[in-house]
Amino acid sequence: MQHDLYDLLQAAKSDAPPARYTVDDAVAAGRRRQGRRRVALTGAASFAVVAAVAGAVVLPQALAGRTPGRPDVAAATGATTKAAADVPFTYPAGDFQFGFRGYTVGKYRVTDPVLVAPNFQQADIRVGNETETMYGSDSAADEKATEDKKNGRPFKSGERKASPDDVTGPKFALKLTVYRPKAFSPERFRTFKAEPVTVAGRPGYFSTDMPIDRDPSGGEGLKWPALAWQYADDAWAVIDNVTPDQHGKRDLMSIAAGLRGADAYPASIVFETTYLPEGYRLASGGRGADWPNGGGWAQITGTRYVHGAGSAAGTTTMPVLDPEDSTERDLRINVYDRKWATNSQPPKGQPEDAVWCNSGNAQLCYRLLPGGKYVAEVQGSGQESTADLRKVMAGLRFADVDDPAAWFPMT
Amino acid sequence: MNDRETEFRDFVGAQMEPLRGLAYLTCGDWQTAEDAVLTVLAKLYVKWGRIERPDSYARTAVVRAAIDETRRPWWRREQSTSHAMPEPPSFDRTHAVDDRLHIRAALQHLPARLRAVVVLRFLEGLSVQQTAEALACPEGTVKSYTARGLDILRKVLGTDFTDQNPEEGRYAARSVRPAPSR
Repeated sequence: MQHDLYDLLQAAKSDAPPARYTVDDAVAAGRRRQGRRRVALTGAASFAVVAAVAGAVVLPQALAGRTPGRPDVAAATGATTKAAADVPFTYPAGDFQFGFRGYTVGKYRVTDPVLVAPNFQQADIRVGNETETMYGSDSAADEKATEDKKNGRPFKSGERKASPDDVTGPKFALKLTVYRPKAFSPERFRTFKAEPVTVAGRPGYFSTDMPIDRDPSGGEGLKWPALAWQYADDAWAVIDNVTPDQHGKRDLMSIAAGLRGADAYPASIVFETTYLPEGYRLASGGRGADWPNGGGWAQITGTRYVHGAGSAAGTTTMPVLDPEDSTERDLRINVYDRKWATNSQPPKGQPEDAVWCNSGNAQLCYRLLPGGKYVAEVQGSGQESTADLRKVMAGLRFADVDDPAAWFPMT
Repeated sequence: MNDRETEFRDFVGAQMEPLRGLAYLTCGDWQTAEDAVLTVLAKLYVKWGRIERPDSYARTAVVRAAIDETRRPWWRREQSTSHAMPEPPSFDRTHAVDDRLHIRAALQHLPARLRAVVVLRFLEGLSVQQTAEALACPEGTVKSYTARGLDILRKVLGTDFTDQNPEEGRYAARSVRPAPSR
């Protein structure tokens, strides 16, 4: 008698329990993710790594139509959103310093930089007063709904049944990333035959179909319009746009030409750490950490710490980092308004500043900030002990969220 | 419903169950497997129309997601598999349930990436090169993992493997044969 390994492997899965998910569930999850991804890509909350296990990263939730307010860091640091002085941009020497301020070009408003890593700094770009709705509910019934009964039509791609938990906030359809000299190579633009352009007398490339994230199957990944240009010798910046039907080459080139320099100033965050496990170092932070955990208006602060050298070292050719399938050993700390982060509550009766961890997922721990209005979350990579995550949380020192001038400089 | 969504639905309808099984064999837990598949399909929905080979993308992403799940501490707590080799079990081949339980037990003795290599090669029928691409590792690693994986299965199951012409049979580059009489 002969057994085929194929038959044995088939047998091993032959008593599958009834499937918990249907095609409708997959479509609903896709729609929800599309909404989140757009928000994440455009500079908002940390949704892209929703864990597929019991206990997930917090999902901001708020009342429909509410535009979340957040401390005005720009005002606190003396930043301006008006046209910058005519000073060429020079990349700051410090790992976590910003080198430009927000500026306006026509209808495009470039924010002050919101995220910094040793090799790049990023700002969001808003078009007028555009807003975007993020689906906040995880209700299965909401996700399964495919018909827009209110308007008598099927939901369009990315739409979903309205929920009281939906969050509406500013839409940032474009993103500006300024790389440290020698940190970015435009090789990928050349590979994909991007059109050569000139920005402020320097070379650049524009493509309507630039892959900006990795495809694990080895394909080219998602493609969006993007412009890369040389702002100084051996130094490049990129503007990418996740709304392909809008904002063409001329728009992106105008925004690029508006970049000016400012005196270097430190990126600041609402907490400082007094303990990190051995070998971990700050890799990025600001209003959010590296994409896809990257931040925006739903996050007060986000930071990322990597063990060892991390993947940020070396030259990148990708306009946007996309470690969705990353297995890097890292820690992420985020601070949210509790109104938007309701899916993990502290155990009843514990002191306000006590740390608690998710019972279903040992790589997530939390702690309330003084006053209980905000919550800090640490997310491990699965390679750190829960005891260490607790220690990280217990060691956090917080500034007043509503007083950004008193926040801690990133070091 | 637009064409894009119709195509996606057709794809999911055909692939969801095979992907669920693939994820299960990789991570060893049905619930985790289903969550991994749903997460991958949600990603695929967003990318639909921009992916050249959605079946390949989904298979690769599901295996990677399932491997990643096995790295999580909660999973390790639940899966207290010993690395020590057990005594070869008595193998009653007259019952399918025995096959199922034994191959499952045997798979649990493979580290996740070895398990993924075995499943991709012998269930999904991928070549060494395709498996290497799926797992983003060198072909030499796939060959090595294949050999190690089969060796462990051979020891745990107490059966022998013989090489077969790769051109013969479905995916059976090798087959499992009963162990010689003891």
